[in-house]
Order: sequence, then structure tokens, then C-alpha cells
Amino acid sequence: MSTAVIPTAVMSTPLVHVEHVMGTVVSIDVRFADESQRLPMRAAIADVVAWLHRVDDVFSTYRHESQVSRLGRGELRLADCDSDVAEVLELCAQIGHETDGYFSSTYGGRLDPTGVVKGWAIQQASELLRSAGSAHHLVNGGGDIQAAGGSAPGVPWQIGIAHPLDRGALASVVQLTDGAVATSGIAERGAHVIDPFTGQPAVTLASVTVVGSDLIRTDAYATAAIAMGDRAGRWLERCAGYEAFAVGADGLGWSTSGYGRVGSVSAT
Amino acid sequence: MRRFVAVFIATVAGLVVLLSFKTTPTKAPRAAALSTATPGATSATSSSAAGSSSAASSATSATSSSATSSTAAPTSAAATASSASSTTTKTVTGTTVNVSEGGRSFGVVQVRLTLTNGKITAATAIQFPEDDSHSAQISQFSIPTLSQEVLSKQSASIDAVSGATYTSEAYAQSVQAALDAAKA
Repeated sequence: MSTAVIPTAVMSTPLVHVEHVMGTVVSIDVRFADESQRLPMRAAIADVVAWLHRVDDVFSTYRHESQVSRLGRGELRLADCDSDVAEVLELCAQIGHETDGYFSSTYGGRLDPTGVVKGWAIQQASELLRSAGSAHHLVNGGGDIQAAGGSAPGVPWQIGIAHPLDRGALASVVQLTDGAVATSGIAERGAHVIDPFTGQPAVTLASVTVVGSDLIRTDAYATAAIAMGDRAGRWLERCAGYEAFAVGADGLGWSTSGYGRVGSVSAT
Repeated sequence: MRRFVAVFIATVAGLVVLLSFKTTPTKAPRAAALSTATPGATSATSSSAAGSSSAASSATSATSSSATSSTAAPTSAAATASSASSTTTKTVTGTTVNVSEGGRSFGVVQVRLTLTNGKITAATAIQFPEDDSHSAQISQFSIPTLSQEVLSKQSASIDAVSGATYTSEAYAQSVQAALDAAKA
């Protein structure tokens, strides 16, 4: 069962940075074998952090003067916003279509692309680190993760999936190499996902975890799945390239048929 | 598919009753789902767990009688205690249950339960109705909590935790914060 791959390189002490931004905490974990990488990687992390704050300034719906807030109030045209805003809104529209309308970029009738912004920002952060030469890193944006490589060459990242009904415990473990894991659920912010077709908070599922290659969609699909409730399993089963694991509010769970290839559930 | 889920849960519940399963109050949501296992309560549980429509609950009530009436006396109970620790893991396999409705047979369901220290840690269907190829992917199971002991047994040192988005304040109490502190 255990991975029989022996790391080809002895990795240096991880370079870890923790940043409070976007209403949550982003943990950045960069691994390398060559100690000479430490200084350039430190600089790359500083660039990522600056960029995450820039995203927060532009997209935050909590900031009255952010471009997205002003766009929502009609004080700013889309053409006057950063080009990133149009890109994110286009992603919102695509994902709304892909999720049969369960993903929505409005909340309470107001423009709110938050459901895509964080996944998009964390995925972009990983790309920035890659461009700076990092092959092995993990960016965790408040529980939603984009990873490059593994914790060492040939060694997958081990991602614990928080148990939504048992704080501090894990319900599953995902092995991740070059990919993304996102979890949506009620554990941290209550029943905050609204079923757009009923207008009511979705309460059937305590959490949904989606594993795939890109955080933009794993994150948005996990959110949409919470809104779908009982329909989520069948919908996720049809999403090629994505696997999912869910815990119901009743404590029972299910997973897609391919989840066993990326994650394990059973404790024995 | 729904029919299978209903039968699967009914069968698990039946097996639990026959084992005089001690419920674990600390895992209230899970224990509640499994411990209310009179046959009548079982069909109610399975319809709410599996069902998304009135069609599901009607299928459930139609099949649960056949499932629970022939449910699952344990045929084997192998206790394998690991000598290294006090953890006792026990696997119990139910008898096969024929699933039929209105004279039509849908096939055979068999369930295997794994109990660790008296708690259900896994419920696996080891036989499915043959005409129901999608059963496995939506079959429901109780979610084990992976303890640190289990994790270290699996040599799975965790690098990060995925969960519902925590606030900046809640991060301080999170497992992710502990991991970040340990790595730095």
C-alpha cells in the first residue's frame, strides 16, 4: 500500500508563509532540494502575497470602494475595471452554465463573484510560483488547495479532509500531485450556501470535497454541490476529471466512483 | 439506484440491530442515523438519506420490507486485535439479501461492517444487484473519523487540510495552523 517511491533528492526545510488576506488565511508551503532556492523563493512568495492583496482590493464585496462593489452599484463600467474582473465574470458565467445554474455570481441580488475569486486567486498564486521556478509547492487558501508537484519528487502531498461534524478530526485523506482539492460546507460559516432555485439555505450536505486539476472549478463545483443537495452525487459523477467525497448532515457519506484513486476514507 | 441505497442502509441497520450494536453518543449524527434501527424507523432513515423525491420514498417502502424481513444474520465475525495497541477491529459480514419488488428480482446485496472498538468505521457493500451498475458510486457509508493513531499507522503525515473556508479568526484553532507552525 505505501508508496514505494524513494525521493530522488533530500528536500530542504520547507519555506512556509502564512498571510491573512481575503477574509481568511492563505498558507504557502514551498519545497526545494537546493538551499540556493530559498532566497529567490522568498522573493516569489512576496510577489504572491502582494498580488493576493491586490485581488482583495479589486474584488472584495466587503470593501465599499472595491471595483467589484462599484461595478455592482453601477458606478463603474466593466471596461473601466481591471481586465481580471472581466475574466472572473466570464468564468462565473461558464461555471454557472456547467453547474445547471446552481453556481451563481450574485448573492442576495447583488453582484458577488466571491465563489470564483478565491479559487482563481489561489490557482494564479500557484502559477506565479511555478513561473518563478518552483516545481513543488502548495497554496492553501482557507481550506482550498492548489498544489504543484508533491512534497518531494515522486511523493504526493497528503491532504487531510476536515470532518465537518467533528472539529479537529479528519474524514478522509487525499493524495495529491499537481492538482487541486476544495471543500465547501457548513462547518465554518454555517449554512451560507443558498439554493438559487428555492432561495433557501442548502442544508442536506455538511461538506463536499472535490478533487481535480484546477482550483477554480474544484472550488466552484464544491460550492454548487452543496446547493444541489441530493442531486450532487449524480451531477459530480458526470464531471469528467473531477472526483468527490461528501458527508451528509446526517453523518452518512458518499463518494464518486473514482474517488478511491485519489483518496481514502476507510480507517482500516 | 435509490432502491439499492435504501436496501443497503436497511441491511446495515438490520445487521447493527442483530449485533446489539452499542451506540456511541459522541458521534451523535452518525449514531442517530444507524441506531434508530427498528425496521420501520430504518425505512424512514433510508428514505431521507437516499431519497431526493417522492419516487425515492415509494421505492424505499416497497423494497425495505423484503430487505428487512430477510436481513442479515451475521455469518462470520472475525476479530482481529492488533497486538501493538488496544484497538480492536472486527469485521462482520451479513448474509446475502435478495432484493425483490412485485415479484421481480433485482439481485443480491451483501454488506460487510468493520467495527473498531465497537464503533462502525466502515460499511461496505460486497455484492451489488447486477443490473444496478451505478450502485457502488452512490452507496452511502458511515464516515469514519481518522484518528491520529490511524493516520500514523498509514504513515500519512498530513501536509495540509482542506475544509470549509475558515475565517481569519478561526484559523488560529485550525489543524492547518498547527501544521504551519510545525513546518516553520
